[in-house]
Amino acid sequence: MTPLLAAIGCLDLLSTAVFAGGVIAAALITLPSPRDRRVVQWAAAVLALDLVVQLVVFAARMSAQSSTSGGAFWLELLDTHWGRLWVIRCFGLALLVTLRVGAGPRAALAALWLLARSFQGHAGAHGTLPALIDWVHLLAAVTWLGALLRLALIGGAIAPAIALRVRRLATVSVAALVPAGIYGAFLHVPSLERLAGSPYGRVLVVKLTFAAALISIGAMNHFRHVPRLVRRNDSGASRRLWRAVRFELVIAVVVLLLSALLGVLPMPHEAMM
Amino acid sequence: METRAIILKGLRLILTSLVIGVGGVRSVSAHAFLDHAEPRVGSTVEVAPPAVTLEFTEAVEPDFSRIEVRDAHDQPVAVGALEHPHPEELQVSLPPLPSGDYTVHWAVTSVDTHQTEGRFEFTVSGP
Repeated sequence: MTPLLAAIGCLDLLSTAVFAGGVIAAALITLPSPRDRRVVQWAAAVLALDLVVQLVVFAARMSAQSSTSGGAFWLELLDTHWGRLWVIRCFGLALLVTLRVGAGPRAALAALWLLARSFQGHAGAHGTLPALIDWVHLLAAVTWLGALLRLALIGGAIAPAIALRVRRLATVSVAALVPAGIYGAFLHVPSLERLAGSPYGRVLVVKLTFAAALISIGAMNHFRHVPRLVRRNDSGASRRLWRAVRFELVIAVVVLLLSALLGVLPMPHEAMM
Repeated sequence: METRAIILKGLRLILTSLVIGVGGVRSVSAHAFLDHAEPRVGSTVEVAPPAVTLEFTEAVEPDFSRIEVRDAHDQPVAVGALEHPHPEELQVSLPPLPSGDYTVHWAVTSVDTHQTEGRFEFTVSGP
């Protein structure tokens, strides 16, 4: 069951990030091109399907533990902590896809909608504060990914104004992402022994390694590629930035998938050591 | 480096990382662990306890959790309905227990949907 749960979790986090990131980028970077819109619509469709699969898999796992069946079983399922948040996530997704409002209110709604995901996972099981800090981490990561994706999908030359906007947003995202991530890491893995001696800890180390690489590439864009594009504004500088952003995106997807994997792994506890 | 080569390298890294993570978790069942129990795990008590109370490391879903108590002959003890006094706590009342060894079997679902199960023993020695 764990590989299936991991696959479902990866698809969930990836499609959530691309969808919400696209909605937030529309408000904070630039209005989406038809290509951007298609990517966001695809992400919404994949997430909708993944949410249905999640409910079916949850039902299959819970059926052996329940004394009810039929409609009562499904109602019982949707009345759990996870089930109520599943309904909120589905309702929020439908609202975000169909609502015709400005980019700003839509981005604010997307940010709030991400709360349901944070409360649904490990952090939510440990209380309100861990869930809120997880939400800050998720929101920052999604915003960063959305901005990178917006740059990567630009077919031609990147306008310096857009590159500067992405740079500012990425800097703010990293400033929120890193402390929230450190809090989460210490909350879930309080000792070095548990870091090395548990699958959760080992995957966290791999994730942190990729995250460090991601921040390094981001720093290279911040201090080298974007200033060069602003100074010269030629196709060479634009192409170099575009290539670096595509590479950064690949690493960002790896970090996201590892984060999703952490969501299905048990956090190290003394009973496991 | 070509974009295609970068993407292929990235995909290879993703697969490797997933194999490391998923492979490492096979021996672990779930997330809500037993933090402590009353009567204590492995304890011997003089007076029969009126209830079994289990506290877990995470909040649990009572509708998808259960506690069973069995005597030394593996016969089920008629416990009361499962109660959920706190998010992390489950409790069942016990009938007056005669002296002997008892085993508590528990299976719970944490609020983030992960399932765990376990068991422990306690003994009623009598006055």
